Amino acid sequence: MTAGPAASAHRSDRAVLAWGRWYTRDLPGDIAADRIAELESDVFEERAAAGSDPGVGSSILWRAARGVPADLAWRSARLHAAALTAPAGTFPLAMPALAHVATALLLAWGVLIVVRVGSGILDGSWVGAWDLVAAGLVGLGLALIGSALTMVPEARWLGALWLAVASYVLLRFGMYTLIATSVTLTDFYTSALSQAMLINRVLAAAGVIFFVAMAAWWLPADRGLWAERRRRASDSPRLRPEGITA
Amino acid sequence: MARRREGRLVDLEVDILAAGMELQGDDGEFYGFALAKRIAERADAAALTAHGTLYKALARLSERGLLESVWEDAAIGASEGRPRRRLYRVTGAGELAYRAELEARRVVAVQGKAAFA
Repeated sequence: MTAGPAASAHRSDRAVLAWGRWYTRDLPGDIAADRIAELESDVFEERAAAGSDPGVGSSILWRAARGVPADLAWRSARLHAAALTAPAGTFPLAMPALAHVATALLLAWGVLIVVRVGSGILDGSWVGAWDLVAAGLVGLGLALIGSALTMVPEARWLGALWLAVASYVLLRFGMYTLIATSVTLTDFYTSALSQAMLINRVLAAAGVIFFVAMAAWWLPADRGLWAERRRRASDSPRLRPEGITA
Repeated sequence: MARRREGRLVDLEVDILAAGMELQGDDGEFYGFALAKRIAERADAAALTAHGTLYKALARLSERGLLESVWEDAAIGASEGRPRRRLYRVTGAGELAYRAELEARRVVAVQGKAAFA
């Protein structure tokens, strides 16, 4: 089935706005909202001005594609500006970057596990337990959902929690899955049992702690861990010098 | 990519200020798409300025005080069945910067011709 020109044109509008939401995702809310609103207006006006021209969708997409380097440069400048005014110790650039790198590594680890197990099952060499296979698939699924959620600004903290669970499943059980697919790793595991178990537990704990910390870091300010205390403090009655509450 | 010289405007910024002043003369203010369309008409070009290039330049000119902008009342956009527009105006400083840039370019062009005379 082929979509008509109108459907593809609207898809192009949505694609441009999705791109806008993606590159503004870590920016301060008002700056991101202004850019998205400006894009919405522009895309709407271009479509309205083009009337029934079937090429308008391509034109909108082509304008967006040509502007990608400028979008990324603008994003980078805004992030650096935000970082300059951020409170000390909050690392507004480094923390999200580190989280995305950790997410990419976790996904790569999950894919490696699933591919190794899959090829082992297909060629009949798989000798591990089936719950390890399930752990690999569930862990990769959780990691995919978590990484998708971290792309949505409002749901980023929730994505980090999914990734915390995924990292526990993939790191804790994934290592045993890989050991079951490799003679070399099996030899290492049996020759250095206590070290292998220690590495496994430390990595799993580090992954969980990191992603839980990212969830707290990404929690919206009005729902953050310190928001309630701050609200209570600001709601407290003010004491006038004479000792009468305002 | 053209490198910016201190205090000077790049070609796109000159185009934005020129097209913006024209639109401002007609309607009192202008918005992103109308500006992109007018720039293309002035250059007799088929393609409109890319979104990212246009809005980045508009932000830069606003930060330098050469443009000012306000968001249109959402009710106006809603009554016309469209998203609200960000309305721009070229400031007095923007007009001065535009004229200074044209003059600087004219001088460079004259000096260039004289060097080969």
